[in-house]
Amino acid sequence: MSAASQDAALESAAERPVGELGMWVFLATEVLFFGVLFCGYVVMRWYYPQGFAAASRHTDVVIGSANTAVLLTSSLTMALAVQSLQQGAARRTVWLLAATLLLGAAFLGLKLYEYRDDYLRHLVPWLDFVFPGRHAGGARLFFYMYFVMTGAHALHLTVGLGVVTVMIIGVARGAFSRERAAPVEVAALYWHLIDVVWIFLYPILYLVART
Amino acid sequence: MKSETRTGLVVWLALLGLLGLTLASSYVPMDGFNAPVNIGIAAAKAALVGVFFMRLRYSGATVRLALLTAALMVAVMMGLSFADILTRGRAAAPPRPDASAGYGSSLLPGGCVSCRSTRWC
Repeated sequence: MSAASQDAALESAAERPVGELGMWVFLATEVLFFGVLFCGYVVMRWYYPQGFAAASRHTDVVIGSANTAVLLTSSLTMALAVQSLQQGAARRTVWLLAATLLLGAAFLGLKLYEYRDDYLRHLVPWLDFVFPGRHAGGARLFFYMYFVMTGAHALHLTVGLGVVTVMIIGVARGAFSRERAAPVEVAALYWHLIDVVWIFLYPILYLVART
Repeated sequence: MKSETRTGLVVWLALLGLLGLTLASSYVPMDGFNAPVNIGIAAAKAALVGVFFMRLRYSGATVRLALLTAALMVAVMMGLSFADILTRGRAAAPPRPDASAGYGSSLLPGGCVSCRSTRWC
């Protein structure tokens, strides 16, 4: 091992636990951010159970389920990318990160298509909300939460796409390698958290009262 | 295939299996237990992602403490919110949102007039 890569390895060994802990503390604040939204959702659903049930049936369960599978798969490719880099397979890492990027973009594309569909069906509360039946009030609140929660999630995912792009460039140029894998490891944690948030959003938005 | 890669693939298959399970269970009437089942499955999926993909099985006490703090704070927030809601009288319930006029405009004392629900709907 050359002196330079030895230095890099020492540096990486030192920054890994610090960077990892730093990211986890940031993720803890993210958990609280989404926790507030979840808490608001639970309180509103407690007061308007029928409205929430009726509204949830108007979400697109096919797109929602497909998007869940897409995001779960992107977490796999991200985890495999980190493993590859730790094993020194930079080329494979780039491909796996590219797959993660593509899956993330596919999620966002499907989500935007779904938003367009929601708009055309008059389900956007602050535009021209129309909802049949007597539970329109609760349904309106449901769709407020739906757009705020999925919107906040999509925003996080968009940031994630930027981060993954930077990681692809870094690994391709050799800035991140087996000796300096910490940035990719930490970026992966952020990506996985976006996945975890969606794991909880999926049942509370798409699977209420499907029976 | 390296064993770590195999573990990743097995976890991924388990996640997709749980996704299928949660989706299928939602179409089975379970008399109020659908939501707990869905949340339980979501928690299992999150645990799989956390332990294997986010490498919590390798992480130290400080990382776990950060995560525990967040979980505890969310539990406190939910707990205190519901300590309030469940012990309030119905008179203090929020106004029924009105679809046409924007919610807050029609405070109906006594609950939902349209469906005679004992709770707001």
